[in-house]
Amino acid sequence: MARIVGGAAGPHSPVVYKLPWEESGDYVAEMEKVRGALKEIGRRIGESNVDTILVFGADHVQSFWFGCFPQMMLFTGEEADYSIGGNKIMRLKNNRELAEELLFGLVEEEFDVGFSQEIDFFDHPFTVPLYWILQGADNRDIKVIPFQLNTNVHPRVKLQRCYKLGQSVRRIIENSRRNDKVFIIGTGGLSHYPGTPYYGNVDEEADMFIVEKLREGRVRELTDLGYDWLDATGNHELGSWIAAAGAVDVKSTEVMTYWKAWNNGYCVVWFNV
Amino acid sequence: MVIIFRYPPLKHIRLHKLGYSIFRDPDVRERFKQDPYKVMDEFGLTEEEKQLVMSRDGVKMYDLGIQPYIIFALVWQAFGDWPSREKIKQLGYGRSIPQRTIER
Ligand SMILES: [Fe+2]
Repeated sequence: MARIVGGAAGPHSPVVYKLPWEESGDYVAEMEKVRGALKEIGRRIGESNVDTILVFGADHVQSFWFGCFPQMMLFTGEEADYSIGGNKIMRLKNNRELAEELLFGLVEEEFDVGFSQEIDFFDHPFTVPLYWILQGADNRDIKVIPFQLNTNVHPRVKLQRCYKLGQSVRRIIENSRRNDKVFIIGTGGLSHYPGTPYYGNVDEEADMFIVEKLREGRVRELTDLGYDWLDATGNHELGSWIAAAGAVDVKSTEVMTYWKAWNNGYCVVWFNV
Repeated sequence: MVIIFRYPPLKHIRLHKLGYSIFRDPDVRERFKQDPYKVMDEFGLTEEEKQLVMSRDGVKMYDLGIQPYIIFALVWQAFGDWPSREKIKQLGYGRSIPQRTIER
């Protein structure tokens, strides 16, 4: 039987991959801790013999165009390129069979998820955390199922729906006859305002509110948050975290790191099953 | 309350497409650097949109409804560098965040 063995969430900003401009020594040191936490996730994944990582992330108008912009989309091709800022970083195999099972299962459960069998690339919302996590896992054979979940171009998938989606993903995987050991990742956040005049603010109080709820396993209470609140606090990408938490059926959360930088609340968490 | 990552206004679809293409297509990016007006004409930008792109004013772009991720491409990748920190300050980045309440 396939099963979900765990889950985690963390930031995906390209800055976590590489600093695009000069920062202070303190900034560099703190960023190393964020990368270290992502690598630690990878190390734990490696130890538990995970063969597949399912990643909930939001396209940032890089893979998709307004000619066709999916709210939810599963990649069902054999493999895909992963880039950062359009520059190819790695090519990863998909778990196509499981992805297809999820696609059919989710539509059966009335989540009308689109599919893609061929895509030019997935960008930083997928690539950045995977880059460090796979490095920590020391195993590039792990297959990756990318799941596009629109949290970044309004109108967006509501948090309630993200949570239920995660629960459906869990049911389908648990009912699968396959033998996969699946790990779930949600990417993005926490508070930041990229590309907007609000850039440079970080709503630490809102982040702490979210982090405390997660810590106590009270994820459902977060699903009432609407996009006006999420946008106002720079937490528009929380949906990916919520979907991952729903899939893991999280009981409590380990906060591996939180750092309020000048431009982002960087947080990496581990969901306790 | 405020929605920050808004629905893209249809009237700016040509401008959005230019930013998207600059991000994805190295050829468009290079040609833009060499002759921005020629490329902007190809994409069918209005005179106002052309001025907006050349101003590299991401704050103004945002206020006109341009998608934040497209703004990255238009102010940064299109020109190959970030605007200076002084320019960023002048443009009005660091705007106070909207009102929100935290209910415990
Ligand atoms: Fe993002």
